[in-house]
Amino acid sequence: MDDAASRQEAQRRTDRIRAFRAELEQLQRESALELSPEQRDRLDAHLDATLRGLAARFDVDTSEREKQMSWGMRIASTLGALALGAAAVLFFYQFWGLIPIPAQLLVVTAAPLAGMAGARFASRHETTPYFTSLISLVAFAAFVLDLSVLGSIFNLVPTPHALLAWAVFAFALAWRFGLRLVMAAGLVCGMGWVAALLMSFTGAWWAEFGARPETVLAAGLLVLAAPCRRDFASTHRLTGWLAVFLAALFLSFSGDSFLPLEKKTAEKLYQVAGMAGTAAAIWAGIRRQWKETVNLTATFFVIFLFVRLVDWWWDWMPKYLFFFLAGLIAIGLLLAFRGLRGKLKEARP
Amino acid sequence: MRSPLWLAGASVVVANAVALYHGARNQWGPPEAEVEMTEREVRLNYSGEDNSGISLWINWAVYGSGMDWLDPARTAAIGFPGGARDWESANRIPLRAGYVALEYDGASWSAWKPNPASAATSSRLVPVDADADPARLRLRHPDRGRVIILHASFRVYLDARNNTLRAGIARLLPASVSVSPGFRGALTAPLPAGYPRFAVRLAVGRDYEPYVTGVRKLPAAPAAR
Repeated sequence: MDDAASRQEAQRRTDRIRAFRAELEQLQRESALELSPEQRDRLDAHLDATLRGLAARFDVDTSEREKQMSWGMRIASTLGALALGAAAVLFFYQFWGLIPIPAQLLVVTAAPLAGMAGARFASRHETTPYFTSLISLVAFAAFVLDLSVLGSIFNLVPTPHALLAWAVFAFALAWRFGLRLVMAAGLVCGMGWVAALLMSFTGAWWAEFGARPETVLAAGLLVLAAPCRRDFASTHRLTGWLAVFLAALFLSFSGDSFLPLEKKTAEKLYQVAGMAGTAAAIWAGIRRQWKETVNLTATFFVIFLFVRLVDWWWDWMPKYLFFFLAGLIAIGLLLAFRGLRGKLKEARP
Repeated sequence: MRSPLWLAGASVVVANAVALYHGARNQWGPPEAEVEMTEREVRLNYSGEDNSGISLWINWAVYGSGMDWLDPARTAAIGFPGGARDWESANRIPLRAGYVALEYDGASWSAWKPNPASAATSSRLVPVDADADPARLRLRHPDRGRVIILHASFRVYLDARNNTLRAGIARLLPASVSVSPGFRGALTAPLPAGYPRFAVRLAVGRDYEPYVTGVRKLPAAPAAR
């Protein structure tokens, strides 16, 4: 197992130990379980040694306060990466017109490689991934800048294959250092590349893939079906479902489909498919305990539903009646989800 | 399983090598076409204080009967399907990429009878032909000192006059041309009064991508050039 996956497993074990200790206290207060002082001392010594070992090796969060701090560090690392990436791009554009072309090429080519080396150095010298993540995101931004600048210098016709190069770069960094945000950036570029290729296969200009959202939908399905490492599974599901349902949502408005259907028919098809697809994804998410899938697809289900309600009723119905019916539907959904939850409880051994 | 870090490095090296090769191949040897134009046809892009790079926007124009030459036959040659028979279905056809021939100061410009003010300031770079194959375009327009061929994206619309599909140019690809730092001085030093203020030699390489081969200031004069 690599460092990132091991760290996640270590954090899960730490969380289990904390929960176990809290429950043990409760059971002892309720006199449901009694341990002798020797047993308790031996257990505490073992758990403390385990936590110390995990904290020393993986820098896991051993308390709720540490967990909150880690979230803060994660947010700071992402914001820092965005700010430093923007700084690097703006700094280059401020001076690139003043330096000769060979020097420009050297700077933009060396920047992502230097970022890569920096990420490697950081990963070797810290047990948490925050600095590695920050430097990797800056390296990714530098590579995007690199190919954009090359295109500008030589006045090249834009190509979708730049998206592939960015995706490979992000995948390699993400896999090496276990970085979900970098993986998400790579997946977005990869989906863009697939959608652009599909569009160009039809003979159209590749950059028009936004005009035929089914290309994005297909790319999203590909991401969902693609095999991936266990610690990236939720990232794959999030980016894949996001692409699928955003594409379906646009198709339900625009009807710009490859299918040999009238525009209105295509819109209706994707309105129904969007509702049914989100409902099916919620069901699958609950069954397989994919928390992020349930949250994302439930949001899209509500969006699909309310867009339809507005489309059908807003113009001819009194506003109070519209909101009353929307409220009734929300209560109906609440009851349906409660029933679903009950069934899951019954099914659990 | 760890992905080897060299894969990230290789993606940088390979992508840069491919882009450099493509850029060098385009500019290798004599240009496919080369024309000197003035500020009327290549205008300075405003890049703001945050960007020290200079680029020129290729300012093409359509006069008189517009682009009537882009008839259904040429529209089909670009690759557009001919099935659409109503405005909505025509409007849903996505853009296609192709090539456009742009004539500088040629018959299309001369045939238009502009008023004196327009004649002194308007662009003389006029699209005269389009095709999916640049070699066919060059055969039809052999004057490499007057006609340049560039990549372009095309949209299609339904011509209400005869209910046929007609293509139109959406944009040139690329729409702007970078000026290398070697020519920067001629465009950043105080330019003379009047219009146009500078002339640019615009070359087009073997991959039909443009590049600047020379810039010179024009003497101050209000008259048209």
